[in-house]
Amino acid sequence: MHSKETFTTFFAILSKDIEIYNRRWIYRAIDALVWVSCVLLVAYHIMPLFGIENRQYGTFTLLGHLAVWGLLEMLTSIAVFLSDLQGDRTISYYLSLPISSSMLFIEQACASAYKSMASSILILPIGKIILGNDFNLSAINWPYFIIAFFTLNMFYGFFTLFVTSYIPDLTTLTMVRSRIMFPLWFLGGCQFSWKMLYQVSPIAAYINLCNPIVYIMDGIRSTALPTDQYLPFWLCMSMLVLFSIIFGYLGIRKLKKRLDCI
Amino acid sequence: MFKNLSTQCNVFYRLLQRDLKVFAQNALDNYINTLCWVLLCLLVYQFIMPELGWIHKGEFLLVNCVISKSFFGIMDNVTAAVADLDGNKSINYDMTLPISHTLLFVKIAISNTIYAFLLALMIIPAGKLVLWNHLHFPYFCFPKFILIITLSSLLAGFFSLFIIAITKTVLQIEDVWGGIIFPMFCLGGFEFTWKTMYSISPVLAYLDLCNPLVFMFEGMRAATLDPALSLPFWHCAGALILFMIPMGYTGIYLLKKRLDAI
Repeated sequence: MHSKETFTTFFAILSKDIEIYNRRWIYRAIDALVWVSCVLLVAYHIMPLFGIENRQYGTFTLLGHLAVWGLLEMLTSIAVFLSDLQGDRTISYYLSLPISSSMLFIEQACASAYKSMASSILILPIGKIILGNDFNLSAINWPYFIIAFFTLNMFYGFFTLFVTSYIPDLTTLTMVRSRIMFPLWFLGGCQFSWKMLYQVSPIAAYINLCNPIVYIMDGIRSTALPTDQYLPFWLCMSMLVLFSIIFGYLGIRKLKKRLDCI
Repeated sequence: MFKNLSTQCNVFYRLLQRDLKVFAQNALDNYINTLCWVLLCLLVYQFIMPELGWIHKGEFLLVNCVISKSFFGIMDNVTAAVADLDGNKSINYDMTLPISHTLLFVKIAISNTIYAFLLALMIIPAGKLVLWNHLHFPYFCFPKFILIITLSSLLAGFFSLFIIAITKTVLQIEDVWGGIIFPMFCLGGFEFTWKTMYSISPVLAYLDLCNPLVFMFEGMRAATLDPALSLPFWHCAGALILFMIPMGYTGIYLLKKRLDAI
């Protein structure tokens, strides 16, 4: 169905996107480090004085923010895509290459996933420096962690397509931040696990299962913290794959329509 | 000279009026965005965080949300201004009007101030609607409350000039969020008081006094919550005025340089 030429073009465009991003990588990595350092300093040193005495709260916060960085990186990818659509429309050139429009959008999702993976890769080492012995690297189930890290960033890639396809222009980005990103993030468990929410309100917890960020948070935390406090790892990964397929399908369909692709 | 001054004031007033009309057109969207932020913060901190041992409840977070909005509120206008400088440069038209460039930039700051002030003002009523009887403000002082929002919004307004001047493209907005806005916010005391930080590390606490957000948050808490929790109100108000002068001067200087203004 897809010729060798299609895949060659796919990887050529992907490597071009990666190369362009790598020039800005250091700035985004610094942003991620500054962000996580500030959050960890507060969570690890100050929050205990406000009653939060669990020694694992630092690790809990670190993993949560590592996982959610992709959600913030999404905004940049969306802004790049929209500014191109509103401006030079270089995407028209890529659509003329020997690659189907669907494959081109999948490439965009992969490039977006790479960006969030690359910029968040230094978060774990800085977390170890700040948390010291309270963050036990040997407690991490590394194969699971790598699977989770890859899956959640791929999810962000496809979610980027979905959100982009529904945003008319750059000025609407504020609304995306306030009405989509922030609620998903804050209710998705940036400061609590799904089981904690269940103790407070089972109904709210079940409704929250429609929020993909819940699976991201619980999935990655369960790779380093006691698994009985989180949703099962494979359930989280399966749901993320399912959400990726749904958002990818809807996003690509809508983008094709928007760009008059055949 | 006085005729010239009255013309300048008239243009200043007209431009401000134009900006407020734009704000009024988008008011509903802005208020919905604000409501999302308040609602989610309050629900999580009032009902879920106590499960982790968190001792402060709704009131503490709600008053901090007011300051957050008066600070974050400027970012909508910053994004629009940066997009304009990066694209159509419609500001060039404003710069041809009979108004000094300094006054024109002060107008931008005041316009952003009013925008942030109006958004921040509705946070307490919105919070009251959400939590109703859960909220108690025995120490609430209305004149101090209004004064601290005004000063915070003014500082944010002048700070916006600085951000507009240093942000070259819309894509850099995310770097500004990650590298400047969020660290200032996180270390400014959204979740903790300055006295708490002092009890952990006096050196860090004194260093943190260079962050104007500390005085915004502390001033707001001094005006609405138990004054024993925070720094003295009038110290905070004085510090905000002190910060405003270099912030405004630097912002205007950098903007003039960027736009080759005279």
